[in-house]
This record gives sequence, structure tokens and C-alpha cells, in this order.
Amino acid sequence: MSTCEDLTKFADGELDPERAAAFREHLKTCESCPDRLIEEVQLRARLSEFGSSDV
Amino acid sequence: MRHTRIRDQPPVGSGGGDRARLELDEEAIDAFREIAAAHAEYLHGIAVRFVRDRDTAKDLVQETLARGLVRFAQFKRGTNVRAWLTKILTRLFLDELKHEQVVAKAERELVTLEDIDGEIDDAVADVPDPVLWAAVELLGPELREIVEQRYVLALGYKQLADRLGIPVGTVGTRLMRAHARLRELLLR
Repeated sequence: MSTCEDLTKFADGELDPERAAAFREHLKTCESCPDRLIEEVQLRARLSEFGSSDV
Repeated sequence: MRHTRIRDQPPVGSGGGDRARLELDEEAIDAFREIAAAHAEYLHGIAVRFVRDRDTAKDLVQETLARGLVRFAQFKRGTNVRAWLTKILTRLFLDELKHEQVVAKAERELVTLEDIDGEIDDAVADVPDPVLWAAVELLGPELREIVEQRYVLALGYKQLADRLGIPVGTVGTRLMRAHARLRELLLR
């Protein structure tokens, strides 16, 4: 059973396939994880440009 | 100035419906093409994390860029375009999940992307680069190190664990703490 705790690993692509599939199911019904996922991926998008001079 | 009409495509899984017709000038279209070329690979990497296979990920990126083009006029200049596109991609992914759920329940509920620019706090996306880097500097040495190596070197959890000589679980915990601290600093 997947829980909100898997969110950061899902955002990082670090869940194994079964657990990732379970987290996708969790996203369908969880009230907080969808919004949190958007915030998490936006933060990662910003950090992914770390050190880049043309952003 | 010449104008080109762009017709929006229906969202993936929406069954169509919310077609929009917008006008963009050629200069804006060229600018967006450059943006798409610069960020498509990153978006694909995120899409692969979200969906089950590469073809679906490719479709998701294509749809994201189509949405981005149509909504480019609403993009706030001076904010971060990669974060903006990533938000669109994530919204599309989440809406597709919701759509699956709706279909599974055999409900007649229309899922749309109306809130793409809506209620989510964009503080993280909109904060200027120097503020973001200052926030990273404010992390303790342990968290700053792992953030820098994760994002500058684009390393996965296992690679980070090997490099830093710590368990994979500790990598996950430290990154979670670092992200939480950054959000706290930026959203304060």
C-alpha cells in the first residue's frame, strides 16, 4: 500500500516499478499529494539548472 | 507584424472539448521553439518518472509543449520557464490519472486543465535565481553537498550513496530534508 511518504522518491524517479504503480493509484485519491507533487517537481526543475549561467 | 493562428489540441484523455484558438506572433513562436528545444530532454526525463513507458512519456512531453505554446502568452516573463513547463506536464499527468479514476467509476465528470495557472503556490517557481542559490547556501553543509551533487552532477540515489559513502536510504532522507528546508525558506 503506497502512502504520501513515497512522494519524494516518486518525484525523483527512485521508486521500483511496483511501488511507483501503487503511488500512481494513491495520487488518484489523495487530497494533498497532487498539489505537493507539483511543488516538488517545480523545486527540482529549478535546482536542475544549478550552476547554469543561461537561465 | 505577421500573426499565425494556432489551434489548441484537446488534452490527453479529455475526450476533447476545451478547444481554444489563440493568436501568437511569429517572434513568440520562434522563441517558444527555442525554449522547447532547450527543455524537451529534461521534460522527457520527468515524464518517464511519471508514466509507465517511453512512448507515453514522449506523448506527454509533446502535449506539454503544445499546451505551453498555446499558453505562452500567459507565461510571466522573468519567471522560470522550466518550472512552468514542468508544472504543465505534471498537471497533464495528474489530470490523466483523474480521468482514469473517473472512467473507472463510470462517472460523467469533466476533467480540465483550467487550474494550470491556478491555486498552486508558484513561489518556488517564481523566485529569482540568486534567491534560490542563497537558500541552497543556507542549507547546512551536509544537505548542501547532497543537493549540489544531485543536481549539478545529475546523480541518482545509488550513485550518490556510493559517492558519499552513505546508505541509499540516507540519501533519500537527506534529500527529503533538503527539499523541505528549501520550500520552507522560499515560501516563508
